[in-house]
Amino acid sequence: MGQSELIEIRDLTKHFPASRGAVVRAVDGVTFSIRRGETLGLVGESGCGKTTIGRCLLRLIEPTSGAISFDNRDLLALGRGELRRLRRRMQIIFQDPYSSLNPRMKVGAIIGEPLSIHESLTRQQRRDRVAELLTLVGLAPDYANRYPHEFSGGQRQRIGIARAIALKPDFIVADEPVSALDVSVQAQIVNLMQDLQSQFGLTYLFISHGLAVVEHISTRVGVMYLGKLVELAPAAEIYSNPLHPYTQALLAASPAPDPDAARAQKAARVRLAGDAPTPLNPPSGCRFHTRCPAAIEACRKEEPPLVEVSPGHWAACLLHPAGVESPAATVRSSNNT
Amino acid sequence: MNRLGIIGLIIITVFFLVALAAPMLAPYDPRTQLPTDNNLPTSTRLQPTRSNPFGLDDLGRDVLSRVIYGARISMRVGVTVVSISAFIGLVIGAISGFYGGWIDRFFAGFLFNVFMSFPSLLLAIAMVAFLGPSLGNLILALSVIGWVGYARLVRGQVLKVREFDFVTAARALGAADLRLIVRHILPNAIQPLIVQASLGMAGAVLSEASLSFLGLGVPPPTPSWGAMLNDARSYLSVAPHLLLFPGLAVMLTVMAFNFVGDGLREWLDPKQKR
Repeated sequence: MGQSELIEIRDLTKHFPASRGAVVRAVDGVTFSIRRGETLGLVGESGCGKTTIGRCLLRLIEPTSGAISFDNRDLLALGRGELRRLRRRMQIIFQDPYSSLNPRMKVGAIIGEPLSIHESLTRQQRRDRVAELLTLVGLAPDYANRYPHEFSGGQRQRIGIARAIALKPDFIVADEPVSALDVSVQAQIVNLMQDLQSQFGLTYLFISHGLAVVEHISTRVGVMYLGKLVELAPAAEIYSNPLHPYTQALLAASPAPDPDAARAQKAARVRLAGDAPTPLNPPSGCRFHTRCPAAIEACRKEEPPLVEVSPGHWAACLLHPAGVESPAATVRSSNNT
Repeated sequence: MNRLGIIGLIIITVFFLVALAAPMLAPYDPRTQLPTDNNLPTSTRLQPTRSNPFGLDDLGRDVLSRVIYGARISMRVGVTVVSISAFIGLVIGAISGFYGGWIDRFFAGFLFNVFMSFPSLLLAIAMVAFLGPSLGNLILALSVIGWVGYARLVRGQVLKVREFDFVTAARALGAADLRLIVRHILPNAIQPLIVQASLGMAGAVLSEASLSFLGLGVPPPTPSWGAMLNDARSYLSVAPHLLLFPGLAVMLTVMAFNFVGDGLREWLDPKQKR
């Protein structure tokens, strides 16, 4: 197992029971790893399982099967007590800055809660730490005495971030942390997260429903469709050379800032028809074949494995065959070099 | 708290003080019959006078003194029944809603329905009849019926609140179940319970009256507003004041509890604080 991998998930599956014995295949056999200090962007439309993966990584949801290791420890084998101790090393930031803060607790108590759970500090020490954290996320220390409803969405998100970094974790799942914010505020929050990352050496799993948002912050980007990881590549590579037709469609859907580029993009746009099929009954073969503009006959029957098409660039598409190494194996070999 | 809430609180405080200081405030012993002129027609005989400002009841007892002493019973029944049943309801509702699974199936799927399917007053009557009429048994019977309403309410609230992100956040921080329930879920779930409790006070006072009427409440001659109201029914045409004063006392109490409930709800919600 590699030194540089903080998190490795192998063949992660989460099926939620639905009515009449049916199951929702929210996540269906996903394998990837997250390197120490990187930001892995995880992108896909709603219902593709990206949030479920984030929750499974923190064991807020118990996966149906598969393996997750955190810093070379088997996360799924931990008992209650061990898990509680490990929780201080991994945290979460939520999408909705309104429901993620307890409306009946003052900001100081919210940010101070991780400290009171994991560290025995005096009241004064805790107050000092909270003030420090507030300053760190760009808020005034005296905000500690206010209630969450007195703040704007962006400020609330900063409070949520302060809570998440209070214990100096190694890893943070950011579950669409800017999707609910104004565009101008989005950039501020992303910048704040980057500052904190370089300051504390944080590792992020940055979940988003659009590629545009993660472009700026991600080291690598993974694209999910209906519970499967369909493409995984370094950020620059995903944007310049998307391989999977779904990734191409997602890129085409994100607005271009330059009008000329926008026009060119419009001309070449890959459009998706219809909605994503339900994960209750995913299509056979490649799950994307029902909407894929490039689908061939084989796509109906054969489920494409995630393969390394070019070094570091993985895709699960029959049109892009490559070596049949498993991702875990390559990750390992690349570490040895 | 808002103005009506303060008024309600004042009324309740006054009633509580009256209840506590009843022996000092009541001009007569509430159980003693006062000498009256039996030659007078009933309507005149029982009328309020200077020495008996609320009049006399059918047995010639001072109504003012009985209303004052009645506050003791009503307050005690209201407060204890609501406290006991709300507490049981809070604990069971919280456990049932938070843990779900077979625990929830047992409580919400089975126990709640069993209790809900009993005609509640009949159950109380049966219990008191079995245990014997006394204040303690009355309170017990009303609490045994009362907790289910609170439990259902709390369970529903907990089911809603436990899905909020801030609960997940606390879980991700490593908070223990007790902390999740007490610090995060219940403070955001008890608002309707407070309203329910204020209505429950009124309900308890009224149930006490019903049981007293059936001879299953506080045994006579101990005065209770409910029993007084029921005694007064037969004299409605000749001595309406017998109905007026205990009726007014019940109404004021119920109203005051409602005001306090509303006031508390607003006060507990930081969003409405200025």
